[in-house]
Amino acid sequence: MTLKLGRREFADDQTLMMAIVNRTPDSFFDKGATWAEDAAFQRVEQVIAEGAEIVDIGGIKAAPGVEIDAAEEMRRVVGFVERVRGAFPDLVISVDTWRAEVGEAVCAAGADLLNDAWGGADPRLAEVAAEFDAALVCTHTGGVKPRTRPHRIEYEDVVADAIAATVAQAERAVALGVDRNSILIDPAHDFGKNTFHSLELTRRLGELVDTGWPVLVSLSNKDFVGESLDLPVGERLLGTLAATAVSAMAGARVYRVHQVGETRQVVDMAQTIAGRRLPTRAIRGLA
Amino acid sequence: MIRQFVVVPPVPALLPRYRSSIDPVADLRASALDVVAAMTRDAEEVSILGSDRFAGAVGRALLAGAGYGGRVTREAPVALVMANGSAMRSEKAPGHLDDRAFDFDDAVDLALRSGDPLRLSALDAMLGTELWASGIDTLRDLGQHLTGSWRVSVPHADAPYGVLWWVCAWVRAD
Repeated sequence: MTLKLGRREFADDQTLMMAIVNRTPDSFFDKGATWAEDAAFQRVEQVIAEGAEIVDIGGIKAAPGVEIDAAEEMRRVVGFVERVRGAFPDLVISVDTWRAEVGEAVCAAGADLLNDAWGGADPRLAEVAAEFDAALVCTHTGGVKPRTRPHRIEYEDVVADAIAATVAQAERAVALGVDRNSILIDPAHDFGKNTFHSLELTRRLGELVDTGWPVLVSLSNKDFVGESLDLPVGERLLGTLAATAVSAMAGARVYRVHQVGETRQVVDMAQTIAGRRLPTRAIRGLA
Repeated sequence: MIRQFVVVPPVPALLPRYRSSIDPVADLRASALDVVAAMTRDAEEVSILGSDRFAGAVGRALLAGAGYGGRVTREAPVALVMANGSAMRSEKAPGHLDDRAFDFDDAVDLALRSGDPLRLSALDAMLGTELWASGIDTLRDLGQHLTGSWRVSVPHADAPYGVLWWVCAWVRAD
């Protein structure tokens, strides 16, 4: 299915890199490296140079911490979205937020995509996407509140739960007026899930792909990688890329990542193995 | 009796199933399709000659790519001759470097450009086999059976991967 992300459209055989750009002082991976606006802007320039099609700008870290109200979240992201839009008219700009009021402000500032990473915590966010003809990521969190850690969560079938929740959000968004071609579903590894849940989602990602909705995966340096390999943040790239390859084989379309160049290579290689992408230039044995 | 034929190499990279996003044989492909299209434009039947295991498949792929919709038969007046020179022209060539390759390829090149069937019939098929050339026996057979004078054009002759390829057209002149 052709994917329409705001001002851009992408063919159904195209995989996309969504680069994480944090406007936070405390996110787990970069630990505030792009908290300053100029540093965040340089990060945008860098990931574009590395080939990212999408930037995902976030003003609040996912983990629990100091409460950031909507006004502060807007201070962090709205002006920045405006600046990025001004500098890069064709870039797909996503904003990671669960709040409808923030969604409204960033869409007015030029955002194309609302990454509802907390699974419809504010049901009005989908209405905002419809109002602005923006795209929407529908995620599975098992119903937990934003910025909470999973604690003794259990599912009868985590994959079935993820499919039911994300497809229901997607259909609701369509009913509200969001373009059917502008919706992604994301099983949201580690959100409302322990490591075993995230591993099972990775292993059975093809079942989400089979729903027909384009699948976004957000695997980058997460705890399920760290716990699988007993490695701290900062040493999880290879594990992330292994999970990325498995997801690419299953048919994921969008990859939310810290490391764009490495992920692009792995996704392209997996897509080529899967027969969905041609080798770039093959002549060995064929001359 | 053959009235015109084109010599093209049975290069597997020309097959649709071995396509790349950046075509490693773009020049060869363009030239071969041009000449095959010109040679088969008014033809109702075409033959594909050659001994290489890829000869038939590559010949049919070129005909399809050139828009030919007629029949492929055993003895048509128009033929695709699937042949190439040695595959030992450099250390990175498929068959590595063999110094005999250059003289051998020169001999084939001269014969192809001569328009003289006798020159084709004199090619050394055994040496060709040793040097991983292809279709030399077919060129010899052709030379033994053809008569008359021929107009020749060679729009493409190159060995970018250590295998000498020609796109060479012969058209009966009388």
